[in-house]
Amino acid sequence: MTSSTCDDIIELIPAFVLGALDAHDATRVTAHIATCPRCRAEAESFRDTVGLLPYAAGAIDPPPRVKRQLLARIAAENENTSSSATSKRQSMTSLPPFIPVRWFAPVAALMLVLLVGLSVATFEARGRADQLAAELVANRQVMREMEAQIVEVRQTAQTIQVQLAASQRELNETRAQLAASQRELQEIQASGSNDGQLVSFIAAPQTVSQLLGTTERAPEEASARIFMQPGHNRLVLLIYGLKSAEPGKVYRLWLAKGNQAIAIGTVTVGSDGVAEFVVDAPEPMDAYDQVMITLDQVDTAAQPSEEVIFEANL
Amino acid sequence: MSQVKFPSADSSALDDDILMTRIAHRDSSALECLYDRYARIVYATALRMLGNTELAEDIVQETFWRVWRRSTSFTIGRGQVAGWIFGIAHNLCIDELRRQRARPVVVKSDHEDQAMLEQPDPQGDVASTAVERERRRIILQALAQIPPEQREVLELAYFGGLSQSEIAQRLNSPIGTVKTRTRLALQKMRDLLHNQKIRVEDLHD
Repeated sequence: MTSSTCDDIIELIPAFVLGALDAHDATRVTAHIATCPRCRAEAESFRDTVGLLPYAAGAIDPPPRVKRQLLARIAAENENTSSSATSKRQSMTSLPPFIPVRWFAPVAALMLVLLVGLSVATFEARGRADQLAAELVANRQVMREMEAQIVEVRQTAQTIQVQLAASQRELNETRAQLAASQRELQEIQASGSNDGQLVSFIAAPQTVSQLLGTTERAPEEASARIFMQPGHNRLVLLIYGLKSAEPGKVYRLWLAKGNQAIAIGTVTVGSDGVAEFVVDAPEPMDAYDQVMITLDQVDTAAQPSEEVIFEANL
Repeated sequence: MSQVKFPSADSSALDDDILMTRIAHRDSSALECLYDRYARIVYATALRMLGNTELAEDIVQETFWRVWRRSTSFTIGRGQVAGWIFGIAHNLCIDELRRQRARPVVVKSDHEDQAMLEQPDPQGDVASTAVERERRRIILQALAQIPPEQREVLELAYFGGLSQSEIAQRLNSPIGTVKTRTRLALQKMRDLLHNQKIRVEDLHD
């Protein structure tokens, strides 16, 4: 037992002996003093003080029925548990010794018998009433204890519900994370398969490639190459050495047929200056005679801007 | 640890420990003796805590019923029968108060704000035994010697049956303050009573 634990517990002992600790602390103190003689002695040292406190409330006689009921309750217990107690009680309530009639007229004698019988009956009735009252008190106590248990069970149920809700939230979070992970995995798999498609397309014998020309707007080290197959719509564009587009602007790929330029898509350049772009054009690539990459405003896809970065005649 | 030695409740009667031994041997007249000795204190305490005569009567009966049933579990020879009985009664009252608080309906209590020192003793000093009067004098004197804010916390803890956090809420004070006041109050009371040890014993003799 470390001394800091003892110091911590000793602070709580006065409230503990007053019965005023919150349940959590009371449990801690009970567990600690069971094993720590020093703290147990500290608790003992308050015993007399706490034992005197009730005298501050004064002394008031409870109504006599309380004692009667208590004794009736004890008698009832004895009756239930011991046959000797039963016989003792019966001897207490049995009729007084027989009184010779001698001077009494028969009627008076009958009266006497009735009176004695009545008083015994009254005595027994009162004993029975006390016993019933005692049972009532006992039952009330049992009822209160059951009520307390119900309250406790309700609290436990509430705690469990709260825990259940927390567990469900956790489960949902875990599910969400799992779903996110699955999406990520799918994306990785998809990008993996894209990469695979890209490589097999570029490596195919019928694929032709063309380096695009740079304008004065293109950085010096920038280069762009397109790959395509005669008679097919697919176009692969690889760019190196280009800066990411500034906010509000995008790189856009155009294909032109005669005087008509068609926006094919926007090309995202990574922070490493590389862009890979795969797209299926509306018509086979043979149909187009010019390709162009411009730096455009995000929302102007109708006409290529003046800012052409790469261009080539096909 | 030195103990304050209480004068026996009735000098002509048997020692509490002897009564407890008899009760353990199912002698109900011994329980009656113990009842006559302490039921008045238990009843007054229960009345103070619960403010309801019917409930207080139940507490008295249930306390002594438990004394009867649990007499064998009491360790004889420590001279603390009274404290043990008061402890049973106090726990029953606290249970009752917590039940009342757990219920939405508040049971009436007409004395809640009375401080320990101001509690009237209706039949008290006429009917009180000399021992009761002396013990009451000692405890009230000790209570009078601690600061009022500590006395208030002690009152709420013992007679109010409130836990530390409930007291803090009631007084709108930080719980740390309540804990400190409780500790200081009881430590001071203990020291005051220990210092009175000789006088108490003298009174007994």
